[in-house]
Amino acid sequence: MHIHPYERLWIRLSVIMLIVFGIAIALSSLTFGIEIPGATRRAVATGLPVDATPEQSWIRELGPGRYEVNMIARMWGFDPNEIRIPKGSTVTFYLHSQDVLHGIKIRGTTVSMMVIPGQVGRATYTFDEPGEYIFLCHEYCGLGHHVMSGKIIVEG
Amino acid sequence: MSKGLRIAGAIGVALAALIFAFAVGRPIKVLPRMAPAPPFELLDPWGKPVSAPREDAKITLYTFGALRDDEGMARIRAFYDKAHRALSDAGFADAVEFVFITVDPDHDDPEALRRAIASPPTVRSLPPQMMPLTGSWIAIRMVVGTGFGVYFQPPAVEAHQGAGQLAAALPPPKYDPTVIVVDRDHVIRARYALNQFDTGTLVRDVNLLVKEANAQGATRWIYEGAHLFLCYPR
Repeated sequence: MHIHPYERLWIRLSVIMLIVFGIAIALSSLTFGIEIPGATRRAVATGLPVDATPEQSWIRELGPGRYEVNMIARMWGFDPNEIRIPKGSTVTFYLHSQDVLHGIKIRGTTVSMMVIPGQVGRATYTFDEPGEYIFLCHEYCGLGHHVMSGKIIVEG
Repeated sequence: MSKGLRIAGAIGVALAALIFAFAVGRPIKVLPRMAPAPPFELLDPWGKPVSAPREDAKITLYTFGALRDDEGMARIRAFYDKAHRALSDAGFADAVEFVFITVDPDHDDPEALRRAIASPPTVRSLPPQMMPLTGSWIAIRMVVGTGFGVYFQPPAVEAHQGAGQLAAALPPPKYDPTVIVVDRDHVIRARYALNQFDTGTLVRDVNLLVKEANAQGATRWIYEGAHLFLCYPR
């Protein structure tokens, strides 16, 4: 079968890349111990606040202009689902899932991450502009996924 | 395909392979630059102002607590003993300093701090090598809470005044027992929960900071590259 030289080149490159990716995955799992989190192997994040657990949500002020939010994601809502902070506040979010895989995207910000059961997601953002920032789940999590949202109200 | 194009392609592939090897193999590891540490001016046990950042700064381990909190102080003392011994064994004793910032400034004034470092080792004493700092309530709030991001909360006065308690008899503030590692450039590089503290991790992290700080010339650029490729220890 005749194969054009350029096509042959691209096929070879694709195969080489697949091999490279395979080696990278093997290295990651065998050498660096990267594993998919499961019920028996929870991810432990050091340096978290002692109260940052999936049991209870809270919003607390650390000092002027700095807040922490311990947020629980569960089917199909966030707790807390309304957060009020003054303009210019820096907020660190600790995110936990109590059931399945969720996600969070705070519109108009750079905060976007998966919320994996057994792991603690952490993100920090400074809200310089007053207004309402809607956050929602962006990982399909079941029948009520589309109603899983909340808002951050930044008061000017 | 022209010879020049092949050479350029080969160089590109070699460069990509090099970058890939660097990113996956991570031959050089660095600690992430988490955030700038807050600049501050607080008081030492003799009432003299101590400010940061300083030109002659060392790698600094910050801990936070209240002298009245016996359990917390025992934890800090145990941390200091273990950390100091491990760092001395690894040859880093001179590269690191320990700072304690009170979260109870109403009670831990300079005189109380002076007593804490002068007294023989007890529950409420501090090791003499640990620099204790205090300041006004708002200064502490700005440095510890806003700056370092460590939660602490004084007891609600109203809840205790009703019982006829004096201010001095109020319980100490609640706080997250935390260790924060700050490099010579006054940047936060690591953060540990005190109850999960492990000397192996501390020595590893201080070792990485010392190596990075000593890197010069071309090596310096390789260390900067390591930050770009997230070559962080796991």
